[in-house]
Amino acid sequence: MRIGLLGYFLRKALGNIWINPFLSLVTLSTIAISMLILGLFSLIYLNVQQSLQQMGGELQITAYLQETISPEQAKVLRSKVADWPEVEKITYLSKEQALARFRSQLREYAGILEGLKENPLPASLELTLMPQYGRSGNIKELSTRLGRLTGVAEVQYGRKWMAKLRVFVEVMKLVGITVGGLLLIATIFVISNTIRLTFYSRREELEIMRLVGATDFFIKAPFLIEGLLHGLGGALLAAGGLSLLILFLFSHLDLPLRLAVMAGSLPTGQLVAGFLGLGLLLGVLGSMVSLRRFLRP
Amino acid sequence: MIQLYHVYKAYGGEQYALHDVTLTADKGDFLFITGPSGAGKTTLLKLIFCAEPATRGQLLVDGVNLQRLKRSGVPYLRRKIGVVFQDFKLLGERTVFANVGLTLEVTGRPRAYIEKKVRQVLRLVGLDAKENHLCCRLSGGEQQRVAIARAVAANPIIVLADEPTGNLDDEITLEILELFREINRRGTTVVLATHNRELIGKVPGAKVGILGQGRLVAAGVARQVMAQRSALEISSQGVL
Repeated sequence: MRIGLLGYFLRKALGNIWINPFLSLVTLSTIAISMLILGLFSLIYLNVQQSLQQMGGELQITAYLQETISPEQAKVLRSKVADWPEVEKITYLSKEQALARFRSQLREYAGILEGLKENPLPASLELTLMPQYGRSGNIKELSTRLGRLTGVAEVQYGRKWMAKLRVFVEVMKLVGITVGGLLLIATIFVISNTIRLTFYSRREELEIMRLVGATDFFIKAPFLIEGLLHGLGGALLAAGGLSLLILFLFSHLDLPLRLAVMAGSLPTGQLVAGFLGLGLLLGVLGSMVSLRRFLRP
Repeated sequence: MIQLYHVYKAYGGEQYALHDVTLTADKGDFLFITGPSGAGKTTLLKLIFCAEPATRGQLLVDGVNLQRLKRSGVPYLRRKIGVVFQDFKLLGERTVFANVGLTLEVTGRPRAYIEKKVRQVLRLVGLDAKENHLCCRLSGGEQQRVAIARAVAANPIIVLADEPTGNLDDEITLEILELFREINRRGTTVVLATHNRELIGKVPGAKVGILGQGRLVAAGVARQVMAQRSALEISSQGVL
């Protein structure tokens, strides 16, 4: 396409927007709000997801050993488990070490341990997993495998709360996709409606253009660009709004959420580029929905 | 240039707006299509510039078979045909320049060319002093001139005009007719639909096709056809 023709289409598109500036403003706001909500959902999801992954990496599995196992046997067991690819770190905790740790945890109440005739705490192996093996399925499988080893009495890991958190994240993802999808469809509808109204207000001119030899593309192009500009403008507003919101969260909220926000992706170049891409796509789709209907032979 | 072979046009049902019309206009011809209101004049023009498809028959314009022409080819055919509509179809809130320039804009012509060409055709129709006037502020005759200027701006090989003098007084009618003759003298085929038979005699060498209730009643060189028609009318009056 010639540069001059592109300029012509752009001028026409801006003219279309100028026909009804209030309507254009409403369209821009709708796109911006929809994308802002979608952006917030994505950001929270990414944050929680990332935090979960970090927690997964820090997750420990504890294998309590049978009373009959000697420290030498326990060390053999430790070196065997240390070779498993999932295991990042493994520590052997003897009965004595376990008691000492328990005593230090009890602090001023440590006196209650004085009456013990023998050490009731078992020796154990404490495993820290590689971050990529932090998923619930992997942990369960690993603990079963661990439990089958000779000398292991019981295996414990933070399964319940971890599973709950994962369910929460999955539900959030589902809600996000549903709400986001509905918002995107609504946005396409709003853009399409705006284009349709512009089309109506210029229908006389468009009819004459067709009669004097304008191609469908020539008639469509300014409307496509109009939709594109709306999408792009809405995306820029949303990206700006999201950045402001995050700055606000940083400066006004307490540490946990601040940490969560920090852990996730800030609206850096990638997020802004994603927004703009989505805005362009919505704009084009919105325009095409209208134009398909109006340019039928 | 324009060839119609056994063309029929029906708008649903058995009532034909055009019924078995066979007609030809060669390059450089000045062809009048005449007949009373509802005879099918406007329908005939609509078929030629692809505003509507024929129900049956063959239409060729500049060698292109319109029955086989794809939708994507229609705009390119229309660029070869300038049309002066009965209701002008001007954008009232736009200037004379903008209205005439529209024909060239849609072909993607550069701005400089459009300015030069629009001024040239406005000189031809005598409206060069009013290029910045809004069309809604012009008189009927002036609006008709704008419509003609728009029709010829893209150098079409055919100009179709539907009742271009319908609402104009005699003096302006003759001026407008003279404009079409000038366009025709420059080599453009002109097809002019009118119910005003007086106009036909004012263009020497013109051809005519007379329509009546959708059928072609007579066709040929205007002087001969009109003389035969007059004789027929006189003899039928004599019989009565």
